[in-house]
Amino acid sequence: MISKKIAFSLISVLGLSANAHAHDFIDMTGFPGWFSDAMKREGALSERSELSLPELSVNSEVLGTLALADTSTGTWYYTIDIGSDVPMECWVFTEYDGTANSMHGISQMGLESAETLNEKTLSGQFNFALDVGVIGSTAYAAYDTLYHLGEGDQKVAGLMKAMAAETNDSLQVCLHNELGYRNTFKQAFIAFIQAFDNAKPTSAFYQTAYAWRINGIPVGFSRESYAKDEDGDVVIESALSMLVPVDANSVARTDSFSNSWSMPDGALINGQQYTIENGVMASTYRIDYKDEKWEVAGKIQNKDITATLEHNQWLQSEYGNYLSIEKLRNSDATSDTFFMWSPDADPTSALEVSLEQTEGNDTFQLNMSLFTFLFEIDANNAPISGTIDYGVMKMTLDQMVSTGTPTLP
Amino acid sequence: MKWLIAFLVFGYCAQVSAQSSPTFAQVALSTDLNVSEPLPSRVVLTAWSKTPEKHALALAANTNVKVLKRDEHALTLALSSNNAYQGTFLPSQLAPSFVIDFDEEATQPFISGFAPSQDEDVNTQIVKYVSGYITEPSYVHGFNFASTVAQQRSGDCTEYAVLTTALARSEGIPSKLILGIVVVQYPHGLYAYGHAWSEMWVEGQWHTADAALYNDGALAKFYLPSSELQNETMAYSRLLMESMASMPSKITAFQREDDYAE
Repeated sequence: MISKKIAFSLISVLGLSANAHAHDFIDMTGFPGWFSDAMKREGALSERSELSLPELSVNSEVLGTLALADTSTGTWYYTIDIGSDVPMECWVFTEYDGTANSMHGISQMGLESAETLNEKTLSGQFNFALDVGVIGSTAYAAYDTLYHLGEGDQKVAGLMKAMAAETNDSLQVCLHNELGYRNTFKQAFIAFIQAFDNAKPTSAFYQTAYAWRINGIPVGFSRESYAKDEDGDVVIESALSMLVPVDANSVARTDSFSNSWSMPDGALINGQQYTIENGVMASTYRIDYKDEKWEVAGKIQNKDITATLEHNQWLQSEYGNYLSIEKLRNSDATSDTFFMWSPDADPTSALEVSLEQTEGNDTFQLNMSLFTFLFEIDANNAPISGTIDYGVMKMTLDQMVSTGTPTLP
Repeated sequence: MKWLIAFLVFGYCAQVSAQSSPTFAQVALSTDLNVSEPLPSRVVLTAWSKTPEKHALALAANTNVKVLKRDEHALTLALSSNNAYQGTFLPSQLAPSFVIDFDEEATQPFISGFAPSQDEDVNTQIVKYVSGYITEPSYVHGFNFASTVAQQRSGDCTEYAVLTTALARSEGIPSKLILGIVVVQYPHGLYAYGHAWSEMWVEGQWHTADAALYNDGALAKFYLPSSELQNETMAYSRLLMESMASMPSKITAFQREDDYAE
């Protein structure tokens, strides 16, 4: 086995487009007319500004009137006039927790600012909308919060809209704290992200992003990037960001990042992963093949773990999954069985996985323990949509974008 | 396909805060009973799941639940609101573990703060203490160890159950963490939720200990176990996810045991 230095970097991708439908949690039917009218407001977005950020190779036009309001090492803070009373605010970070955690943190910071500005205490906050989508090839998440400040006849309401995306080894988070302007804010955010999305070429031969939904509610996205390294092996970077609306008032935040190497035949070389939950480092894992054994080390909830897997043979990489699908598709065989390391399930043992072709040539199911992932594939052997049933929860994955093919060039 | 096994126990809990209801925990329940009237102490229900055989196996030792009928996708069950049943315990149900880590330094302030009196059952006092110790009920947590919960003092049913199990064991009381469904009658209706609770072995019987729903104003509760957290090692999350996948997805034909006709 070849030992590789494992380092985290975030993918950057190219392309232009946007698609998604926000899930609104609150029915506006019973709200007063003035509130409904305020929620329908939109801006013209007739102005354009130049965004230049040489440190991140960004030099592009954005919508609205942009101003750099503050900067410090690795952080840039912009305001963008989008034709509303309150400007849109955007932060660019080179160090951050992740799309879900950082966006939520900035949104909460925005609510604290609203308390200070209005000299009223936050008296209620409600999940108003969640959304996921892509801008070009960059996945984004959106989280809107309806909030109240003050009590009784002094109570006021506001809408804190937040959107975030990771591009070009940086995170962009934008906020807009005013009723309405939902589409205006989104269009300005899209233009802002495009400036970063356009800035960096990628060496990946395949990239893809999936929207995740639970019972139809968009709760996050995952993204994967596959590149060939100088030795001819496959570098796999993947990330998952989730904002799960656990009740009417809050969302559980998860950002996971994984980095691994695969042999061209789909065998795992090594890998590592970390997960941040609700602003706290929840787990870190690393797996290496040493002295003909798979060795695992890491931390879960701040407790050290070390383990030697009982299984000391081939572990399949994520890249290997695509090869398995391709193999089944091009042979008379209808199933394949292999072992994978999935620390989210069990960092201390290999998970036996079976892949079966179910009906036709494009429908498969992946069986992992008690789970079954049913999915359809595209011409590139990549899942385009799939479902997993978790008791009362039905999770669906839908491919939002893919570039290239999951085959080594 | 990297993240298919992402950890998904967020909010899979009955109501732990009067201020909010969990988004994904509610299980569909149908009944012809008048739910504004007092419920009987024994009921029959049909629990639908992907793995009824596995569910029946998990219920085998629980004499409080009786399997009346098995179908390909459902079990018809009789259960009591008594919530106590005969049984034995394992030495591991007294010991600290990776998850129930009452031996960790971080757990000690929580453990040492418990000072039971002679005036009340110790198991009731444990439930009251844990219920009051968690000062920030919240569904945002996945599944936290006892040492984490003891420090954060926040969580939903799984965190309450973890802490209850830890405290009971530290007091020398065998205890275990159970995952399943609770059917709760409140003055405003009858609901079924995914839930986690603890069971404590006292005087030869296993007793339900539910700090998350302590003093919640319920008129009646029926606990339907689905699985036990038997693996408290570093591999705990695999078992949790398997439990989630095998959890009943709906409850139908909830009725008085006296009205049940096979």
